[in-house]
Amino acid sequence: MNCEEAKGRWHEVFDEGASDRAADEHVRDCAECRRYVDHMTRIADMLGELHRETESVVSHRDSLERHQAPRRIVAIPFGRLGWLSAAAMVGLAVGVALYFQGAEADRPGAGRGDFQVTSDQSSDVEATKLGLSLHGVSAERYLIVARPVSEPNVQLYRLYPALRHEENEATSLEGL
Amino acid sequence: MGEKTDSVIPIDSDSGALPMRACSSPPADDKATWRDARDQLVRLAYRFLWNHDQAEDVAQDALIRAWAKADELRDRDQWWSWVCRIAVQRCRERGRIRQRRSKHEEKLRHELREGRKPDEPAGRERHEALPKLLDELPRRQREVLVLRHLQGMAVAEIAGVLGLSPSTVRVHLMVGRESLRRLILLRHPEWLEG
Repeated sequence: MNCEEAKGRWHEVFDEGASDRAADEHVRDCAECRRYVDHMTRIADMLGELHRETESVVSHRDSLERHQAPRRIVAIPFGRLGWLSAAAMVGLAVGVALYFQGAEADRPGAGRGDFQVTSDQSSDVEATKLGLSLHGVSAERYLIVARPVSEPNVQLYRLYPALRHEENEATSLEGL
Repeated sequence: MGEKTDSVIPIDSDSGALPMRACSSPPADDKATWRDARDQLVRLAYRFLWNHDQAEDVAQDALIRAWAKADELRDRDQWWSWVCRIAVQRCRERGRIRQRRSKHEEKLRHELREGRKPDEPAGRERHEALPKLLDELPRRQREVLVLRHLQGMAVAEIAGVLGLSPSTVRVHLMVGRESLRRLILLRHPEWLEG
C-alpha cells in the first residue's frame, strides 16, 4: 500500500467505521502518513469543538428566547438609519394622534369640552346660541341645561370636562 | 487508525436535538415534534450562516414549504432529507448576501465562554477563525464538512440531503478535509504542529 492509498483509507475508516489493518501498518511505518493522520485527527477534533460550541450557542439562545423574551428586543441591531426611521415613525404616529384628537374635539355632541343641551329641539337651539355667546368664556366649557324658553330661570352650569359635575357656578340666564 | 462510529458526533440528548432518523416522515399535528424539527433545522442553518436570526428564518421557511408541499413528496421516508435540502438551499442563497455576525451574537458567545471553564487562548482563536476558513472552501466541500462534522450526519444522510451519491460525498469529504488542512497550515500552522 502506498501513501495515497493509505490516506484515502483513513478517510474511509473515519467516515464508515471499517478498520483496515494494512493501512494501519503503513501509517505506523511512514512518518509522512503519521503526520497526515495526526493532522486529520486534530482537524476532526477542532470541528468537534466547533460543533459543541454551536450547540451551546443555539441552545443558550433558545433558552434566552423562551425565558427572557424582552432581551431580544433590546438587542435589535438598529443602524443609524434604523433609529432615524423609528423616530420618524413615532413622530408621524404622534402627529396623526393629535390630528384625530383635534377633530374629535371639534365634532359636536361628543368628546372633551362639548356642551350638551338636555331639552327639546327649540330650546336646544336657543341654549346653544346662548352657550356660544357667553362672551369671554369658551362655550365649550359649559353644560347648558335648557328649559323651555317660556321659563325664565334657565340654569347654566359650568362643566369641567374631566369631572362632568354640575355643581359649579350655577348662574341664572337672567343674571348673564 | 482508530475505530470510528457511524456518526462523528452523537446527537446530544440534553440539547433536545431530534435524531435525524426519527424524523424521516412528516410530523403529525404534534407541536412538540414540529418544534423539535424546527430546532434541528435552526442548528443546521446556524452552522452554515453563523447568524441565529437568519438561521431561524431559514428553518421557518423550510418547514413552511415542507408543510405546504408535503403531499407532493413521493417517498415520505425522505421527508427529513428533503426538508434539510430545502434548508441548505436557503442557506446557500442567504450565504451570498450574508452579513457579519451581529454584535449580540458576539456578546452571546462571549457570555457563554465567561460562564464556562475558560478556553485556552488558542481555543478561542480557533472558534473565531475556523468558521472563516470553512467559508473559504468550495461550496460542496464546505457543505459536506458542515453536515458531517458540525451537524453529525452520516455519509448516506448527507448524500440524501445534497442529492449526491455516497461515494461522491466521501470524495468531497476527503478533498474538503485536505483543503482545510492546507488552509490551516498556511494561516495557523500552530494548530496542527503544536
